Amino acid sequence: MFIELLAFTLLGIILGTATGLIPGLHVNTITLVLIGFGAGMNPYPLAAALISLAITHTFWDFVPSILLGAPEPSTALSILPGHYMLLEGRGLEAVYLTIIGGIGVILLSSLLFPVIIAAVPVIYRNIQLHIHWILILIAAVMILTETGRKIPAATFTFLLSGILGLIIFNSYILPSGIMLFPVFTGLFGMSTLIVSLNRKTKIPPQEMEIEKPQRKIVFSGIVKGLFSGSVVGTLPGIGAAQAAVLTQEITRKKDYREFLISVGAINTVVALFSLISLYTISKARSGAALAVQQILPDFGFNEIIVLMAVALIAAGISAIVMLKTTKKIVDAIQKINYSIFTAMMMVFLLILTAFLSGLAGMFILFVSTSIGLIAPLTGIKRSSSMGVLMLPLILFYMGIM
Amino acid sequence: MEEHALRNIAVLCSVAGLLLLFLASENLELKPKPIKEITSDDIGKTVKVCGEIITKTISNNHVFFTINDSTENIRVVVFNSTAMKLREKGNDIYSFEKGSMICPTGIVDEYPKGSGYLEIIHKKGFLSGD
Repeated sequence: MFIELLAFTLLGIILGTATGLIPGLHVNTITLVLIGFGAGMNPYPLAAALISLAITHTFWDFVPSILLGAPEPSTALSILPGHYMLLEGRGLEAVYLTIIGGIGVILLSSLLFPVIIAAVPVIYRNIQLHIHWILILIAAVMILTETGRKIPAATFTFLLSGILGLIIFNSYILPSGIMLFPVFTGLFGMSTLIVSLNRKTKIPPQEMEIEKPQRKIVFSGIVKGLFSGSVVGTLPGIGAAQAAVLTQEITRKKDYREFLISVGAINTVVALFSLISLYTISKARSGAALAVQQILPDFGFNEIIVLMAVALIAAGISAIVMLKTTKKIVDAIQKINYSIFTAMMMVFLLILTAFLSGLAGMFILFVSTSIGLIAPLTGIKRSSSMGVLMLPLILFYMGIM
Repeated sequence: MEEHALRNIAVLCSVAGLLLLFLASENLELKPKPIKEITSDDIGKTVKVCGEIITKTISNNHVFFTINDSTENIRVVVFNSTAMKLREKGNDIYSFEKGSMICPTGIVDEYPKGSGYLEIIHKKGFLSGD
């Protein structure tokens, strides 16, 4: 069984690398394919592949987000600090910081595992009926921490993106699996690329030596990521995107490095907590966890330990491979003309959106890009555009829709 | 945290995971489910059941068992491709007798569709036949 589990863990790592690197290729799509191909086989190796895929994805998806400007909901807020660091010649460091967050939080979660499994049911019981208040509080803090005239601009952006979210979630314009791709590509990706192109941004030579972050920042980033990720990872309907907003408010505003470590941690810990929630409160909080629940109906202590081991292996190997390969990717990016590269990326995202979601997706991309441009043009925080997810969720948990 | 330190932590993480996986996988086995508890909600899920062979039919080298675990009966289907592979590996299910205990692991299916008759399609792993 050990060899079988290991082989499928490696398969999950390969697939997770592909889903992380290719914008628009969603973990849930590959999960469904794996479930289809694995029908009838021993469910344990299959579960190992699913969890390995989900964890690996959370490491690699920062590469297109930071270096190419093509985000997912969970990595959207990393674009701006990541992009700034890229333009300061520290793109490699930006990706490394997310690796530190991911690997750090896996280790910390493993060490705190007994405490976590005792705490999750308590958190869940006490918070589940108040999710909308938590979201309202996060949104209020997000808007009110802007200064002066930026407060109305942030409120307007939050509401506008929220209305876009309400329309998309209620209209069935796009299938649920891909509906968020044009939205987030527009709000956070395309808008960043347009601003870069307009400013005739040039990528400076990239530092290939990483500036050593202070231990305090590393520890603080990981702990804040674990805190935010564990709260939202346990609750229904909200995920890494909301945790990133929460973390943005509790991290030092001027230190991108701590924030990137936290976002790296959140992305991974939310995937991990979907598994822990399955064990502690029998609730699946992600596509991968739902699939595991289906194939392993008796999900007990042995199962969670095996899948935690799989998560450790996937995280460790992903980090090692990323450390080896990201330098080459950054090296390739700095050699090209960034304006041409940005234009090519925009064309690529347009083609991908048209391919994945057709004319309706192109229209949504246009609208969301327009809304996404408000933040960089008015100088407010990008997270205001997270209203696209937060407003529909607030209304849903208030029982209004 | 320098690059080599991060790499060392990643290696530590992988090694700890491998060790944990090795130790935990020893105790990993699907628990047999009482046949009575298998319902249409389980269609498409993988389950393990253990029971005594009540009937055995062979048709076109496909093997059909009905097994009973003292709670209920269920049909177990082993298609010829699986049955042949098992025989090649020394697990000759064609020779199993009534009264033998077997523990198939497979997907719950409904056949014919919509009939409410559930069966387990055994695809992999030895059937003991003790």
